Amino acid sequence: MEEFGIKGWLKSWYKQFFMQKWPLWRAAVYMALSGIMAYGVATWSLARTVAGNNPYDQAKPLGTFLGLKELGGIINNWLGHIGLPHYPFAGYIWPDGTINFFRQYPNPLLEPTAGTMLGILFGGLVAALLAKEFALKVPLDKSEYLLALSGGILMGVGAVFMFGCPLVSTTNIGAMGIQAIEMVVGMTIGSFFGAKLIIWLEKRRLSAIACKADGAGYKPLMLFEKTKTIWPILPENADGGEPWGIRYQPYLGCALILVMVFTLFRFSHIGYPALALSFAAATLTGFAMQRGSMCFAYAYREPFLSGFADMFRAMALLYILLVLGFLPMKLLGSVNPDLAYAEIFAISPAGIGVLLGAILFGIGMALNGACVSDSLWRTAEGQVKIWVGLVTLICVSSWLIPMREAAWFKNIFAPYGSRNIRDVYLPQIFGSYPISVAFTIGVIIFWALMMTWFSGRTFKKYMEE
Amino acid sequence: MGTDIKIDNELDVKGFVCPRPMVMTMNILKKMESGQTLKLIANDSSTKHSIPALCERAGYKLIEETDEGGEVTFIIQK
Repeated sequence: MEEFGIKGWLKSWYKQFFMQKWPLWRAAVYMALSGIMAYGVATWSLARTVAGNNPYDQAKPLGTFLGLKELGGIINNWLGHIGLPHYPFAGYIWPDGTINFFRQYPNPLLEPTAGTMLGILFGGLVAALLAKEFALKVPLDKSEYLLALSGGILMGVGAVFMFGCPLVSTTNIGAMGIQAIEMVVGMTIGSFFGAKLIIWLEKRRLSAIACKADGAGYKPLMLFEKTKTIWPILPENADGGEPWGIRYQPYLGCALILVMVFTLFRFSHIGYPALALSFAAATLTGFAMQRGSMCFAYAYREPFLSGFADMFRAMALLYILLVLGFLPMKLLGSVNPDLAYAEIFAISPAGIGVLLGAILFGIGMALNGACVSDSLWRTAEGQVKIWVGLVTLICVSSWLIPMREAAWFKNIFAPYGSRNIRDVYLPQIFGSYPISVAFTIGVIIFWALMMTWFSGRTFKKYMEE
Repeated sequence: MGTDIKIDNELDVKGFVCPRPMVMTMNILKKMESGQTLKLIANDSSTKHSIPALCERAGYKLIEETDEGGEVTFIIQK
């Protein structure tokens, strides 16, 4: 029976905001808000560091690259110091190449992008719990693990070569770096090949199993090895009501939000307000991604696989909002020498390595079904297959990341911007902010139209076959 | 769930993660005759977005969608 009054209104609002899937545009807007917030917090933390506050409290715009190294370092320590040593540091590299406020981190988790990764994971977990969607799902089909492993390895190598992940590409596009355009092109090419590989694998699979009509259609098509949901277990008889493991999930989600708010307040009081706010921004990102099922792997792959470009168009909206949202902070950095680094946050060197890495990453995320940030919120939903891909990706990239500091690597794979980062910064190249903004938005719109065209072609082929 | 809907085909993709539930569903629907129904069971949250989108675009009728503890059941008529 429908309830009226405040209680009824609250229930209806809760259902719409926390239980039902968000439209993609709404998730993109919330992701953009959190990305802009993270950029703003990073700029603020830079001003605080320059003013002599806690040098470890250095937030960064949303990204995961160095976080992969730090979290990978922790996993490697658990595994017995496998891989190369890593050197977590806090510091700002000024446009002239000098490193300011350099400090060795006392704890790898203080590296801001490690916090970002944990924040996305946390946001995804809270969103899943509030929607009663958390369940530990263990695929029994070995091929899923093979896809996760191969995808994780390809993404791990790709992340090192392209200096980041698709989430970094969103920040980098907003920051107007050349690296981002290379990333988008490379991930599109990689996703194309990844999609073709999946189609081929599924065709082989379909022809291998006896799913031909046996007089009763395909019923029941239980020829795949099923998953095992190890928690919570659904009752055989629906009359038994929801098991407690599902019924109490929203309460646990609310409790986690309270714990987070309390912890972040404490963290702020002991001198880390910027990292606390940065974590909150990442949590919002994870929340929005889970609610809208926002998935970079889906966005780049589906125009070639199932013929859908709606997710890519939502991502394009996100990219455009970030370009516009970052602008005030970048202009502030351009006029204030103390905040010069804020103008070029998230700009990384470019070169053939970024393109190659993005292609590998694109293939990997198509196979795994998720990139880094996608994997984080899906891990939080309890998808064990995704855990395998994520841990593989983190370990592989953390082993290889130190390589990118080598001179040979920079010279061969990322020569542009290695000496002066402004060489790969569009406003510096064009000599104008308005032209750079127009160019970046133009490229995004062109790419979204192209992906829409590809998706139409793919879907037409599907319907006609 | 309605009990008067005749189910012609059933596909259980629980445990499969995006993109495979979508690909498998598309492959099965392609082989089905027009008017036949498919009962699809999935537990990957991405299907809540992708399957209704597929139905809308391809002109399939999404007769029913139920969610129980993250296990989503779709009934689709081709």
